[in-house]
Amino acid sequence: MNSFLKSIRVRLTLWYAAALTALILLFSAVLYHFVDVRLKHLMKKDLERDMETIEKVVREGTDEVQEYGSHFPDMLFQVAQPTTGTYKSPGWLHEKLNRAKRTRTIDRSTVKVVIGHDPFFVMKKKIRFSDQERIVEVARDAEHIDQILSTLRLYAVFSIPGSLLLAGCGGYLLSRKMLAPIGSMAAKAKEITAERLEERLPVVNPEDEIGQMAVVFNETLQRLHASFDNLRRFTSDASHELRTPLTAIRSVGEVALQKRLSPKGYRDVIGSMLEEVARLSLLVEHLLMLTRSDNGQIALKCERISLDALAKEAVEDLRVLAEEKIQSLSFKSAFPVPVCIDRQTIRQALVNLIDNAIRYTPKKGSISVSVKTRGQSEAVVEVVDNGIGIPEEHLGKIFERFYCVDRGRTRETGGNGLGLSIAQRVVEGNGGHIEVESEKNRGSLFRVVLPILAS
Amino acid sequence: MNILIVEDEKKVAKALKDGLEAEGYTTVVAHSGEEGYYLIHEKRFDLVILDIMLPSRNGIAILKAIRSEGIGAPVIVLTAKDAIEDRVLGLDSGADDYLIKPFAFPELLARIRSILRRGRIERLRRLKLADLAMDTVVKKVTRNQKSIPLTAREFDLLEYLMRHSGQVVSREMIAHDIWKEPNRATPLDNVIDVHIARLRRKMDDPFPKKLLHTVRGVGFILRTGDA
Repeated sequence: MNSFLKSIRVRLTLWYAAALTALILLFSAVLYHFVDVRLKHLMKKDLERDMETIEKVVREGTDEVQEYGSHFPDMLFQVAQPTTGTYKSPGWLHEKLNRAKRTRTIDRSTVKVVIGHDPFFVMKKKIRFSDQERIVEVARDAEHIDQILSTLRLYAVFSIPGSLLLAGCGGYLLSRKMLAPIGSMAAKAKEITAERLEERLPVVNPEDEIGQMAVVFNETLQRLHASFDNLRRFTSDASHELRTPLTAIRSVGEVALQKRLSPKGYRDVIGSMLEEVARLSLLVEHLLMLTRSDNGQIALKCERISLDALAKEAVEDLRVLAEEKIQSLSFKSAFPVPVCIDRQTIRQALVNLIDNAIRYTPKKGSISVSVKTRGQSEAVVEVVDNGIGIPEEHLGKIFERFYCVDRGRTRETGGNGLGLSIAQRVVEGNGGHIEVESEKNRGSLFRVVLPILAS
Repeated sequence: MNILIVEDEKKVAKALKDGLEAEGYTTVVAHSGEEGYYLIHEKRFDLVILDIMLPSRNGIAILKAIRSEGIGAPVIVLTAKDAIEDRVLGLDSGADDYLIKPFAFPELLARIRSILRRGRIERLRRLKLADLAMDTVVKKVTRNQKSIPLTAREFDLLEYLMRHSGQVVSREMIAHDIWKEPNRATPLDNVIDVHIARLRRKMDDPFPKKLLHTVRGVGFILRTGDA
């Protein structure tokens, strides 16, 4: 019973039925009252007309009253006058109106009386003329009023429960139809697991509330699917990247063991293996750093430093690499730009970006690094080169882990495809972001945007 | 010099033992925390190399226990976790230094030397190797009485190599000690290689006897005689 009541459909139906009941009862009561008032009003009008007639007759004289009474035997009236006593019309006598016991006041002049089972309305009026006071009473049969009202009551008693039952059933069925998509959504959602994230919930009507919910849920699934895909690709890329140096170590070692080498030869072999180990170590270092920044585990300090000084330091550290390629590496900054950042991680991001610029710019190219402000709140480091650039179709993906525009080239230049991801993560971790603009064969612009420190 | 190595990974323990003995140290290896704890009480060691992740008894627990017992032998902690909290935990528990796995062996040697000579003044003003001479105060380098002009970075690099002459110096050590770059993920290897090449061009190439040698896969060494 409890679980039955918990169903949205049942609750919806019950609420609906309760509201409908209240509404119908109210409506019936108002209708009944209105009909009641209206009928009584009409009855009073009739009585007033009768009274007028009788009054006229009374003013004409006592004989006239008697004559009128015998002329219209259906008229119910009596006239009480002090001199000649009370005249009762034949109708009045016939209906035994004087024996009326139960009376109910309708208004000041009118009462309702019941003789046996017959209801009557009686109107009373005092008429004063020629110093005499007469009391005139007229009456009318009111059976039709009671009949109409009782019929109305009967209708209400029988039709209200019936229509409520009907409406309740209708509501129940209707809500079942309306809620059916939720059931099918739940069933579908149960089927969707990490392995089957490409499935989507059925959307019956994207316009209604349930449809909107399904659409929103599907969008969430879409994002979930994308991030699962990323994770899967990341894992497989990472394994691939780990496998390459492992393969090198293994084959170099195996081949060396098969041959007889001089001590220098062995030293060379071991050295070559150690080089691969260094590559592996760096890769693991990078992966760890990314994982930590994903989990928010990197404790970023907020050090008040001058961004231009930090950028200059990074430029000077890497200058020798540019010199080796006969590139011009320039640094520009107009004034100190104070920022509150984690020095170590931002330094790494800048080194990564400048290192990339040197890597992907041919000999005799030029790289310029400049520090400036943008608007009131942004500190900007721009790294511009006139190197090979990034084709447009790759531009959106270069921050993805292990993403390489050209894998062969990356291997040649010694990158592992994580430098930009790390740069982006740490800059974001420091409350900034990286913008990139590039044109193939024209060069690239990387812009590190960080919040400026309000002085 | 007596060194206790507490390391459960047999290969690593053996490599440490062989490497340290080749450098002239006497070593004892314990393969578990319990064994290490027992040995520390049994004998006096000049230095303990302690792995953190140990079966049966965690390195930090051992460290805390021996420090609370008043055993003051210097301890170098080895850890695979380099999160700052882990380092702080290690140092707070009484370690004298820590090394993150995988570490370069020359770096371990350098740390050991640094701990063992602690307190002794080592900063000589004049350094000398064969016909190479350096005055660290006036920042002057000569070879065969001929003055060799060096940039500030090159000078620091050469001074570092001369202070460690006869010992292999890894790129990591150079990045850490000369470039002050504690982050192992920052790519400075190429930068260091270029500086070494330039240094070599100035102080080695014009002379018949080579002093600066590259130890492939490990780092660099400054010494007389062939690599």
